[in-house]
Amino acid sequence: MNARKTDRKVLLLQGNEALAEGALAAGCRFFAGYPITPASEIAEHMALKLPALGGSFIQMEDEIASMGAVIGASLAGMKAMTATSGPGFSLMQENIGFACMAETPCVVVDVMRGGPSTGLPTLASQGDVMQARWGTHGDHPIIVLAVSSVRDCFEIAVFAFNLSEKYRVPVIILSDEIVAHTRETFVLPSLDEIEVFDRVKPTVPPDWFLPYEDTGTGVPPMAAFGDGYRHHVTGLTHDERGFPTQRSDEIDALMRRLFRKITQGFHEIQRVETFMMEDAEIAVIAYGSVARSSRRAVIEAREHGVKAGLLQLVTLFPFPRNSVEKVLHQCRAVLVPEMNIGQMSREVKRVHLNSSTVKTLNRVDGRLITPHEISDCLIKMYY
Amino acid sequence: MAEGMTGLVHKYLRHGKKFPHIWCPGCGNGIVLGSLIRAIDRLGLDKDKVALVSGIGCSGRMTTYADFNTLHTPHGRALTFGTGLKLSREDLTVIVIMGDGDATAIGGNHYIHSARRNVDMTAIIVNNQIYGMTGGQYSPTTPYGAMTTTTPYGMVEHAFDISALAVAAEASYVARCTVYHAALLDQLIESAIRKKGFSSVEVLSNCHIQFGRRNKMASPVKMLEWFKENAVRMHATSKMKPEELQGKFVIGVLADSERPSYNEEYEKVREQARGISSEPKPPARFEG
Amino acid sequence: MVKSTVTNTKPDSGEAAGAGTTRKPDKPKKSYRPFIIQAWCKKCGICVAFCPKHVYRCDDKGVHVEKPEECIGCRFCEMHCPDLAISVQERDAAPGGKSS
Repeated sequence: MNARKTDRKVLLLQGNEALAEGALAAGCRFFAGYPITPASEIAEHMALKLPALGGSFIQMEDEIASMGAVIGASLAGMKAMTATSGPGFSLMQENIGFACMAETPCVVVDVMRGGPSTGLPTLASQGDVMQARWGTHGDHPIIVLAVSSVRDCFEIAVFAFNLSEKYRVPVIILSDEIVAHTRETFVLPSLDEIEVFDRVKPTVPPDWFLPYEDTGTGVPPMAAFGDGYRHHVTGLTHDERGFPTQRSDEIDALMRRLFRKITQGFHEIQRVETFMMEDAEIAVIAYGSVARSSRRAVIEAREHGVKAGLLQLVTLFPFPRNSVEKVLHQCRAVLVPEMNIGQMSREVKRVHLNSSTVKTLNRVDGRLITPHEISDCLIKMYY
Repeated sequence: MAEGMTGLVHKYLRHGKKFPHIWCPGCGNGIVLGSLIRAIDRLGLDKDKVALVSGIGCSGRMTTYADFNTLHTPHGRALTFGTGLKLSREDLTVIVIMGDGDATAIGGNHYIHSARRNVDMTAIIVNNQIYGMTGGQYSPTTPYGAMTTTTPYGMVEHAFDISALAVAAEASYVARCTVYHAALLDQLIESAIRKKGFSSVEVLSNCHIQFGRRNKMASPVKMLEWFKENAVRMHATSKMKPEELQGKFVIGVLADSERPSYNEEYEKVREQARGISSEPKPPARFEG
Repeated sequence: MVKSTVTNTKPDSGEAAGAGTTRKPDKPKKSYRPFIIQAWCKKCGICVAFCPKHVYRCDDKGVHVEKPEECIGCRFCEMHCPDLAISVQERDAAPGGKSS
């Protein structure tokens, strides 16, 4: 693709910086966060860029406060985000659950590092995958995306905000220390090439407004505080008016709608990328920085005559079942390399129904799984 | 049909909600609600521009009854949500209602930072010296020696002085009152909301069901009499010895100062970032 | 505009302007009538206990406005009713007489 010099800038950016730039391009104008390695650069970049755009940056006293401020900002109509790593992500869980229940759009970035606990602040892992899906208590749907490159960081940030606004749900972006701190050249798209989605606002007269109405999409229009649509927002299980309820029918209706609104959007929420899958007989299913190694490994394996391909998961949850099942049917064996003890592999195994063999490759020493480790595995699987 | 003062109060209640409200007969939360609404009415605030944020506990239920933009948040975190609201919509008047446990136990850190940061919002702490909603466990403001369900042998910790915390954290306006002194409460809440910067109004309130009943004050009347007899006006304290102030509630304005609000300071940041600031850049070393 | 301070009105002395005096005519005196929204009243007893004129009475049927004519409009009950169930209503009294 030729880049017209007048339209596009070529930048050398770190993953964290690109993520911040993507958020700004998507219209994010509020960031609240707390310093933590390896995510602090996102906060620093937002602190630098937001004020000139009329936005707000604030460093709160802890991650719990950061998430609270983000939700407050979202209720006031802003596109809002925070960024953290494992320990901070754990602290944020209660408020993330609030965002799920109150259906406040927001983006939470978790730049994964070695865990559990203080773990390995400066080394990578993919250990927070299941936490991103189930970290907060109670039945709740959530969207989890994974980035594998600097370009991803920008584009997936935009994707995350769009999904969050459209489905009124928190979106977790899982990055890791490697992607976050890797610098790559990146062609910054011009703003008119970037599709941005804003939350749907109510058009009924205020007296008729039901903040949690079950519309056709399952997503209620959202009014900002101060815009004339006074209403009540609570973490308690509530009715369509937003008031707490203990009625069986109202509770059931809310719970089902929260899940249905996401299910109805599967077709656009579940994003994957394929590489050399057309004639693949064995495949790698990978995400995050491991997907980068996997791409290289597939090329290496092909050089050894192995008909290998890669299914890269961009959306981790809701689990892209259809895409994974297709690969499982097509291939006789599938490898799921992860920098954890085995988290997404469990999901793959859950859907595989004995149609192929699922092998895992797990590294938990803080280092990236190398292309060579993966291609070695693929060759052994093939022959 | 209610007229006059109470009729006006009713105009600020959500008519779709069932009344009487869920609080116990005689609960001080009802008195605080009336006082808050009268203050808001005196200030002539537009309902659409008021954001009432509450925490978890009995006082947290206040938000369902009031006809404003209302937000009921997780335990202890109300001020952080209020911060996000105020930074994003400066035209909102943000009022945050919390109980003593919500504000000073789980929420203590957010309380002192909100004061330090001087975000333009008003914190009203309904201090009933107990965790009422969960059945009567002790809180950081339960008096030494008091009986509660988690101090069945008597409280052995000493209580926070909530307003002293706010003063130390340099809140712009700090006041204390009791639910017995409702007329004064109206004035203090009005001044607190009017103040640009972080304001804290602590209201001693009666939980006769969980606290009073276990500590020889089993009725709202007894507790209000306790407040009446032990309240000391701020201006009178200078003539009193420390021993005389033991067990007393010092009411009135405890601090009132001027300091730019967080929004004002951040607007300067925006101007500087846009390169349109007329103020010179600060030197490389920080200014104290 | 709602007053937020306690108001006190002296009770009408009952003296009428008569011949031979240079008294100004009486301004219409206000009288006050407290009114309880019984559906909201939880009978906590605060109004009964603190009313300076003992306007209220409580029995097993509930709280009643027993002596409305004694009300001086201090509004202590109105401001302290936790149920927002008391409305102290003002009436202008006819000169020298009781209000309607």
